Amino acid sequence: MTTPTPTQPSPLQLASFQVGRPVRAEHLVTLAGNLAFVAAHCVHTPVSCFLGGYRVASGGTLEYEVFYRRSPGVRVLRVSIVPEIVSLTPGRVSVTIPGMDLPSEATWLDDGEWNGVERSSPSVYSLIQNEFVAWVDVSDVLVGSISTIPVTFDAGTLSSGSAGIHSLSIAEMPNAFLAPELEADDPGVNSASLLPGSELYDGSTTTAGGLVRLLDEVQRWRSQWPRTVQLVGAKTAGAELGAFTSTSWTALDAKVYTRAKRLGKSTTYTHKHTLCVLYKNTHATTAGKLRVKANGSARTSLALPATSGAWATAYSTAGNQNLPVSGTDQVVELQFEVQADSSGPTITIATIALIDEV
Amino acid sequence: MTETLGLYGERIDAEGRAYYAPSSPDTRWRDGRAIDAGTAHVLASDLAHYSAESLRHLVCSATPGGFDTNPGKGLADAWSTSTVLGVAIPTDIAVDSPAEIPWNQLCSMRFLLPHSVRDRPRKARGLALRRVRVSIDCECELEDGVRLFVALTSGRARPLEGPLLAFRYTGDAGLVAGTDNVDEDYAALAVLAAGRQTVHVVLEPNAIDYPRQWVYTRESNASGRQVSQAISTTLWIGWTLSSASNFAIYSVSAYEWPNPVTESL
Repeated sequence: MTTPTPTQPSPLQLASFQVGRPVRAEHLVTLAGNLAFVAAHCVHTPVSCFLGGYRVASGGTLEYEVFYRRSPGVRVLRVSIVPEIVSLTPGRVSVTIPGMDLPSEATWLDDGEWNGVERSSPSVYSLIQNEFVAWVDVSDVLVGSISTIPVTFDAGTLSSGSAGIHSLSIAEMPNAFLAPELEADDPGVNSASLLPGSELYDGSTTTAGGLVRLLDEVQRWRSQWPRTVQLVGAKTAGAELGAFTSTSWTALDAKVYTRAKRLGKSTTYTHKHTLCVLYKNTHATTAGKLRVKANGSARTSLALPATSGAWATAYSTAGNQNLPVSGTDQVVELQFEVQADSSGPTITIATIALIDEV
Repeated sequence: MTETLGLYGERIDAEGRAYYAPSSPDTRWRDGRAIDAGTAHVLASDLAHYSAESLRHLVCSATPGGFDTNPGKGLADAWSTSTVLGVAIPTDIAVDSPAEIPWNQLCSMRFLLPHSVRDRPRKARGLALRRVRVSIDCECELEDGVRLFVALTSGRARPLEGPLLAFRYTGDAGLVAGTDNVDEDYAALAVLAAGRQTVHVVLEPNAIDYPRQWVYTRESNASGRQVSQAISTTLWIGWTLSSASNFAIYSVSAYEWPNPVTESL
């Protein structure tokens, strides 16, 4: 029996649990429902950004690659773009995700308008804009690992002007139902095990129901439901986030902001993240570094080894980027900096992501 | 001392922390044994706290060097025959309202938010979407040289058409930035100063009967499609410039914001 997921939690007052009185199945049904709410509905949006600063002429291509770490359970991504035609007349553009048809990883649930077929799109002067939408099944992508999703935009037939992506969005979709008894990775508790009037049973971490399952799932939410702060630039020359040659720390000139998550009371508690970067280093031997400053304080830097000009990804040690929760309203100001270890390399940055690891 | 978190329930520690529940292989969790109230408190408190801390980061967008909103300073008037095609230019434009600009791609940015969470209780109005804080790192050439608009709409609607969920704008010389939006009233922020600055705005979506969109999910233990429903919204950043000024946007960040403590069921 699948378990419907509520779209909002039900409040429980702690006074309803009285010492000496039994905890009823109805209490656990409510708690299981609240767990289903956070696990099935509070899922993250890895990418939502404006890319209108990067455009190409007719026939040109823009390539992007973004980082993604998925939430557990059956999971589908909604991917969409709004194109931008900088011209007085409409143009024709197309978009694809190359290499996403491997059954062992992500597969198309519906490739919609992301199949490489050119479609018409209005100009920037129009009040109406198109949105190209597609759906990707990522249920088989390994939970806990960080993947990359490549996106290719082609400016097809333009009578004049240039084209690019105005908005890019990649978002996890909420689950209407959970079925841990059918899908081993699905979160939550089988609601049939918590029916009022039924005896409560212990179960285990591998059963779909029972109190042990409920306790285990609550702890799993702490560590496996990510949030992502991601700056997206293109891999295409001239459209990256930045190129750096200095041996002194040089900042990307944009600051971004987020609200850190507090799950600990200690004054030393920090919200741990993994730093990910897509970059290239023109040198054959000399490396560089990337770091983030959180509220003006530098975190542990990430090495960017030489790549002789090839694009590569680099990841920090999992969770070693500690964002403070002590700021006003837990808000953190983030600024990213790059440095070459010695003179010689040009380090070009395409994408930077901070993905949380609790 | 406990803390009430509205729709999320109640948590043990008013300073906000999660407690580790007793480990699952513990022998106390055996069939036939009672669950003690203290453990139930921990479980309920943790879930209330996790719900409160499940606020998501929604938008992260950066343009190196700043996105120049008006290269060549030729687009000072957002509503003109040189900036809008396909519609008649209004002759009577309402100032300090969403109708002040056309919200096409020459005078606005849009950020697609396909799934919003509706768990914020509003007195006598039912549930509303979570509040959203928007932080805009930008640079103004002249003081009050640009009017900045921030709006949240239902679905893909432009702020001009609605449904308009929240709307804030800069440019009232008599106000201090940070005034809350109340009901359908538009709330003004102070003028933008000259130079580099970060504008922080909290959007408080109105409680309406939100249109829902069908979205795809996947069947459990199968490969077929299933459908679910989601409330989608669009975040808009718009601007209109004085002819002599320029305005660049370096980054836009948007993240869900906690419910105010005074709101209640």
